[in-house]
Amino acid sequence: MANSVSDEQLIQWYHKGNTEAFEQLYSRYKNAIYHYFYRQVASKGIADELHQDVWLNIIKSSSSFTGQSSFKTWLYKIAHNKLVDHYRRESKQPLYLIQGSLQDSEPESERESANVPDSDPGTLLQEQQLSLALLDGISSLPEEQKEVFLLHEKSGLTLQEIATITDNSFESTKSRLRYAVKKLRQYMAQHLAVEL
Amino acid sequence: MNDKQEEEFFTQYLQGTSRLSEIYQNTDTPEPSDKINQHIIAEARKAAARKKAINSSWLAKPGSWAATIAIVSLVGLLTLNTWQKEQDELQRPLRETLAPQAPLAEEESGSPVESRFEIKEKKDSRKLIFKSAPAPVLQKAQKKSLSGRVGSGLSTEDIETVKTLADQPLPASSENYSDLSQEPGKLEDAFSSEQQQLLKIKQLLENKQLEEARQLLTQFRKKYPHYPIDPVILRHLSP
Repeated sequence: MANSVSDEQLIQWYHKGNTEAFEQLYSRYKNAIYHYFYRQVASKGIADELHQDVWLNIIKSSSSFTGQSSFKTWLYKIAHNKLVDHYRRESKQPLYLIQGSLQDSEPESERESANVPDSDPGTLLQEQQLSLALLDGISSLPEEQKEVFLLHEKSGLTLQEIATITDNSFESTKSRLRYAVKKLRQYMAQHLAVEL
Repeated sequence: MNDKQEEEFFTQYLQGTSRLSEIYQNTDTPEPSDKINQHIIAEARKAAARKKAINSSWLAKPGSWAATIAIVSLVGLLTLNTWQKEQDELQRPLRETLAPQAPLAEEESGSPVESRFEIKEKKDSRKLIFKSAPAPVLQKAQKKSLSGRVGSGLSTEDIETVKTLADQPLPASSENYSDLSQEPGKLEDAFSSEQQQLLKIKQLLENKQLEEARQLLTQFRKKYPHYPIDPVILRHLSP
């Protein structure tokens, strides 16, 4: 199936019984959605569970997609609601309060496999340190700022789309992102003495 | 870092050209396991198969729905009709019982009331006739005697003929009967005598003693010229 087909067209095709359309959609967003959960909850098990819940919800309610918003916005809205439900269910404190435990809970393989280009060992080590420091910095962000940053950075959503997904105003969303970026710069400067 | 620098950096970040974005893009992107991927794809296929099954079922076709509604409506109407008929059947005896007690009900009790009045009038007029002449008493007596003779060998046709004659009004000016009507005891004796004579004639006929029967009939006619005689007797004994 051609990649030029829009997400909205694919979900409609799937609603009519075309399973290949769903597979195409899934391949487009599976990593982004999983990343969104994984960075938020910092637990592979919970990320797996939330990831499955979202996609099973998409399968079940594909007919409820009306096309008023983009499929991407609809998908992340469902993901956002799942995350909120999870926090409510767990009555969990924002993860930035458990910064220290994040390093312990993250898979060692991921820490070792920071996606850095092959270059000289010095540069490689520096990039790895920067990536790990940034991940730590992200995990230390307040929940709402972290979500806005992750949605903007990894999912490629615009501020307006993020505002729609999180049920916030555009200005509020922009403000949250501004604070997130500022805190990450400060975190990097404090921990690695790196000026971004 | 002053506010101006912060603002410039944030603008760069929004444009996607900041160092922060570059570092983050270089971080590893965690992926769902193959097991999860397969599970989700399998669920999607199952759901699609279920949808196809539902769409192909007769319930999803408008024609099937229309036919179902039509059949259900028809059955409902038939059931209602049957029920109403049963109710009518149940209530009919009750209505028939109550109808004579409700003469003011125009539709049901109008004609029966009229017929009852007619009958009453006829009965009254007969009473008047009976008072003026003793014939009805004679009729009654004759009817009794005739009905008693059903088993005596007369044919049904003969009996009917005799009944017709008996129904005809007898002359009120008959002296014999007017005399007899004034004395009930004598009247009964007279009837019994006439009947006995006619019975005797009949018996003679049955015994094929025609001459004797004819003589007795002649005497009877002389004695009771206006008394109706069994046509069977007349047929056998007429010259």
